[in-house]
Amino acid sequence: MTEQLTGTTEQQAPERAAPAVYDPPDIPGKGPTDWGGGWKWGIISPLILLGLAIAIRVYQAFAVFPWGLDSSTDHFFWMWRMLVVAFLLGVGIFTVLWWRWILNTGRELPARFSRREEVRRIAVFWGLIGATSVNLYIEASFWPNEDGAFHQTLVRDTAFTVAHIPMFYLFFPLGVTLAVGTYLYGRTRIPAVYGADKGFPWSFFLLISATVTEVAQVAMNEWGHSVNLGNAGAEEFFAVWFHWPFVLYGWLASGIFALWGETILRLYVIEDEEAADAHDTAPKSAPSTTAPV
Amino acid sequence: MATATPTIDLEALRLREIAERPYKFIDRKWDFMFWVTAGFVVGAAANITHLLFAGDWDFWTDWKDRQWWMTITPFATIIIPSALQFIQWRAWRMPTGATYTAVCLFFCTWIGRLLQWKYFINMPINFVWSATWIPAGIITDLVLLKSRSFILTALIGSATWTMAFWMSNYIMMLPYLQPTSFMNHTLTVADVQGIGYIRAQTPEYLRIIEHGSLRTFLQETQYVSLAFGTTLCVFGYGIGQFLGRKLAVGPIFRYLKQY
Amino acid sequence: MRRFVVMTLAALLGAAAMMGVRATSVSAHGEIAQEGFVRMQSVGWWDVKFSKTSLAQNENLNLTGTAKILETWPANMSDGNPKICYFTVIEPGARFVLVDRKINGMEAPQSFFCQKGDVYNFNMTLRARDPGNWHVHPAIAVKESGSLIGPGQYIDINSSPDGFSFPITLLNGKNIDVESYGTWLVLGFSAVTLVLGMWWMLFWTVPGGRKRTITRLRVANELPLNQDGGPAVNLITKSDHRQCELIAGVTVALTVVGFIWASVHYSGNIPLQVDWVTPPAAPAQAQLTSATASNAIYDPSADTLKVITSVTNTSKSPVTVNAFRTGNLTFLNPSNGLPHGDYEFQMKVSPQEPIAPGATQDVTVTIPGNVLRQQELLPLGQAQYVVAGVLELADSNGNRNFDTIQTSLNPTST
Repeated sequence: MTEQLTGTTEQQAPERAAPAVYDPPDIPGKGPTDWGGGWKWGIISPLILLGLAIAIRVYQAFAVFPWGLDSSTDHFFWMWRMLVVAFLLGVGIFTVLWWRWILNTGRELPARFSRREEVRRIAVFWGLIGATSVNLYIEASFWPNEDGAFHQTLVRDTAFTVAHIPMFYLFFPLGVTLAVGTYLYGRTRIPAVYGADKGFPWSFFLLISATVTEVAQVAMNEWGHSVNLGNAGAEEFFAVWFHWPFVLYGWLASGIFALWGETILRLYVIEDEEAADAHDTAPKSAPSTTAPV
Repeated sequence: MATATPTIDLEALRLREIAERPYKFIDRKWDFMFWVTAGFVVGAAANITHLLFAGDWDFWTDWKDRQWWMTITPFATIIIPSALQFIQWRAWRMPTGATYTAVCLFFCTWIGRLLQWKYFINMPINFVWSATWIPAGIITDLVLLKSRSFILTALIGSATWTMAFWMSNYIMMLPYLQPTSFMNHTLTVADVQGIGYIRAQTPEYLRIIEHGSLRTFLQETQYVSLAFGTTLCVFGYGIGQFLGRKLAVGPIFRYLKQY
Repeated sequence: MRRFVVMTLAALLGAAAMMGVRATSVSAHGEIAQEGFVRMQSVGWWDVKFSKTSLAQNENLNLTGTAKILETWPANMSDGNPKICYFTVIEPGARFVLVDRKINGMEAPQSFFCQKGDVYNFNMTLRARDPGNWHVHPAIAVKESGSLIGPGQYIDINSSPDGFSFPITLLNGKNIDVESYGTWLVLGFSAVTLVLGMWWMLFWTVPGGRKRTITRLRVANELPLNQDGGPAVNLITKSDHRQCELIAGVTVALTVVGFIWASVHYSGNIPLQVDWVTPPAAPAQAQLTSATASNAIYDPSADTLKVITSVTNTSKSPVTVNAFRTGNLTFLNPSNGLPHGDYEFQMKVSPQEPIAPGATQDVTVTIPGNVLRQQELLPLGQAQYVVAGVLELADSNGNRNFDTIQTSLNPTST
């Protein structure tokens, strides 16, 4: 019995087979760096965001004059305030569903994957950074220009102006969704750079902070305008001092460049490994059969 | 007799080999995606910084004065180009940061002016046209290319940024400084635009413009403003350097060191 | 998820269906969101008239009326002391162009110096620009307080075959159309600068294998920051320098030549002008009475506001109450005529009899509460329970007297 417990050298633990290395199938046109492959979402997602912005802009072309001018009317309630609800609900639901999908599918992914697959994931990651970048343009340039213009057509009478609604209540929170979602994708798909064991990266800390603080700044903005803070809120001076935090928080988005930098460095590592493998597997030149002279 | 052998800079050769090395996965699509997608955030950052620090002066011809416009705008608009100059020189050794920012900003401002100011609220484009920073960007990038120094670019580049900005936009502004008699008062065409095209929430007194200097230094007001604008621009350049060094590239220094 | 989509679509479809319904007849421009005390205590408006309600592009309409910066101007606006004002128009975009503005008969192209208690008879000439149906208000903007809006009116602008023009004559005799003046230079020069910028950027990013971007990080990382490696490393070549010098040279030449050309072509230019005026005093108004309000009682069950004012007739003729004005609303004594437009309503006056010369009489005007509530002028639940406005009285010769009154609001119940 003792022999059974301690076992004998003949009883060796069966060899554990190394987990299979996942390599995506090689489909022409859908490779890691093909437009229809790794870059697909990098093209589609910015187009979706731009399309959404344009669709709202077209809606405004019909619905602002005269129904967007007086926030005390029933028209305004149904055509604009309800849009706030729709946008916030929409962003909220999309956020929950998307983040959940990233995390759930991330857990199911194979632990080992080929370099091709990692390159594909980095391409997808760049696509998500691109979407975040486009969202930052829409929230920090496209709508603010309209905001400045629209304030010349009426006296501001609500925080929910026709320009504020898509800006502050759709694209600002969507920026948070995209930034955090991009991080979750990196954490689950590119562990070499953003894996949990690497700690929380400064690059994402800055980018996510930018999007979150921008949302928080909306509250200060509306407060400043409503209390005529420092005799400055009742008139539409765009460079008013309580707008400046929008800029300062926006500067934090500089961290987005570090995302490109970190993943480029990872691509170099992958390329070096690939080159080393190619060198190792290259057919060795046949030994010379002639003696040196 | 020994013949002189040309010295070979082995280090330069090694770097050149690295620069020209072919890659399996890194193709031109990566470059394309970087330049195109980064353009959105760069344009947005430049636009929001300009809009909320100095936007009013750019929205309207009747704000583009000779005292405040030139003092505040160079400062507000050099920050992001400075950051991009650092990033693109540090990362790619390309003298493109200022021009890239100016081009992205051009698209952002003109999309805004046309889509929102002209077609949304129907202001005429000759009243709400945007300034251009592209000539200033090109010259400032040239300064970086030639000097390879951020200190020199901060000093000389700020001067070129301010001067080029002023000269290139003054070309477009001069027609609106022609005098006319309107309501029996001598005003400029820009003033007439501001009076005529009614802005519900930009009453005329809101303009932070020259109210007639107490001392015009024999009509040198413009040049004093340009000089002070240059000084502020140097300060703005420094802020941009902080953004580029600490926030954009800083987070990856730990990885860069391994190289 | 599906339920959310259905609910959202239903809400949006409902909104779309409402688009077919005409907007509410009173179309404010945001003034309803200003607190009651702001609108009641700050500016009084009367006799606001639009000379036309329908016109073609390029035709003019005159917007006239009187605005008074009331003695009851709130202490928390412009530090209680309005100093700089600007008569303007609130319109949904640049639908009209203002071509003339007189205050008390004086041309006032820009802002003017104002003060509490002053009366301004304004006359703004608006040239129709953009075809459509637009709601237009006169307004007075006061520095550090924002815009106070007067009663508005829908105006129809019909298109004209020639389109809109805004002709003026420069001091050098040249006739220009402000609407299009200089546009070619702005768009053309901007486009040229874009070409130059794209030239620089495309040069550095596009050509073949030599201008790859992200692969350069590896090399750039090994070089000191103030070095580019020179031709040996080939990151930046002599050819690159020459090309950049060319582009920058073209840019400098274009800028300098353009600047010189513009300075010569548009010579005689002057800086932007700041031309603020002090309007002359308005013609003295009739002083027929002095009035002091003693109470404003709001009765929720009857939904009425009663403003009780002690009026002393200091003239030699009997006087009657014509109207009470508050915010941009006018409440008319029925004996004074019927209300017109969206900003005039009726009130009850008690007693109806004229006030004899030398007599003092407590006059009660009863105002419908629903009108005040719809206009957010009943400050219930706000931080200042105050009612203010202008009481108009007139004698049998048509001389009108305007007294500013203010009193506390006292609801009979909550």
